[in-house]
Amino acid sequence: MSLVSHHTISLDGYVAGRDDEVEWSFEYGSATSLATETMERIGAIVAGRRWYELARERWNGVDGIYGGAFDGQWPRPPRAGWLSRGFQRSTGAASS
Amino acid sequence: MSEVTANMMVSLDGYATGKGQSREQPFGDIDVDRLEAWRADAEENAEELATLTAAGAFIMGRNMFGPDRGEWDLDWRGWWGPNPPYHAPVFVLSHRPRTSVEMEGGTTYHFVTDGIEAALERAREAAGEKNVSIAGGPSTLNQYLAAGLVDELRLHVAPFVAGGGERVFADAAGIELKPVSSRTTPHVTHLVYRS
Repeated sequence: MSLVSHHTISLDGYVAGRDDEVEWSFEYGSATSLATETMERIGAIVAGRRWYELARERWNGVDGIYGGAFDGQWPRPPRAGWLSRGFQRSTGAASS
Repeated sequence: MSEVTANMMVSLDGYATGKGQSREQPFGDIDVDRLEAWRADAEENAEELATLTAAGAFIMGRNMFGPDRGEWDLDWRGWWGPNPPYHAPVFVLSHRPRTSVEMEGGTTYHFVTDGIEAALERAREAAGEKNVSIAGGPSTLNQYLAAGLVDELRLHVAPFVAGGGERVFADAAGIELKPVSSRTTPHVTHLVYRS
C-alpha cells in the first residue's frame, strides 16, 4: 500500500476556483495514461468532509468524481466511511 | 519573424524570487541553491541551459538588473561582472532614465522608461532575425504574459516548495497556453508552453 496524492491543477497551482469550481479539470481527468493508472490503483480515498459533501451534492458521490470518468469502473469500489480521529487513523483504515 | 521567448526558474509552488533582495541575495530569501541546482547538471540540461542565453536581445526588469531602488547607483553595472553572459543588447525596464552601459563581450545595457511595449519594439529591432528573450524577473515576465506578448514560455520547475516570494502568472489569469513538452532530469522539470 502506498499513499498517493493525485490532483489536477492549473498551471499556477490552483485545484478549485473561489466557488469550488472544478469542472474545468474534468476534460483532463482521464486524458493521460498516468491518470488512468493512478485511478486503477486506488482502493480507498481519504478526503475531507467538505470534499465529500460537495462530491455527493454535485456529482453523485464518489461515482461521479472525475466527471464520472470512472463511474462503474472502480476495480474495488470505494465505500464511504466516517473517521473523526485524524489522518493516521484514516490512512490505516484505507490500507486494511 | 523573430519570436519572444521567456525562461523562468521556479519552485514547485511557482515562486521565482523571495523577499528581501540585496547585494548579497540577488534572489532574496528564496532557497536559490535548490532553485538553481539543475544548472550544475550541465550535460543533462545542456539544451535548456543553452536557451537561457540564446537570443538576439534581452529584456529584464530593474530588480533583476540590481538591488538598488529609486535614483540609480551609477557604480552598479549588473550582477554578472564585466563580461555578462548575454553577449547582446539588454533592455532594462525602469522609471528613471540612465545612459546606456557598454560591457565586454557584446552586452550593452539600455534603460527604457516608456513601458514594456516600447522596450519590446526596441529589442525586436536590435535582435533582427534572432529571438527576443524576456530574461526576468517574475514581475516583468508577468507583465509580458498578461499583455499576451510571449510566444514561448519555458519554466524550469525545481522540486521544492518555497512558500512565499514573487510568483509567475500573477495578474495573468485567463491567458491561453498550449503545452509543448516536458522533460525531467534529477533536479528539475522543464515545461515548455506556447501561446
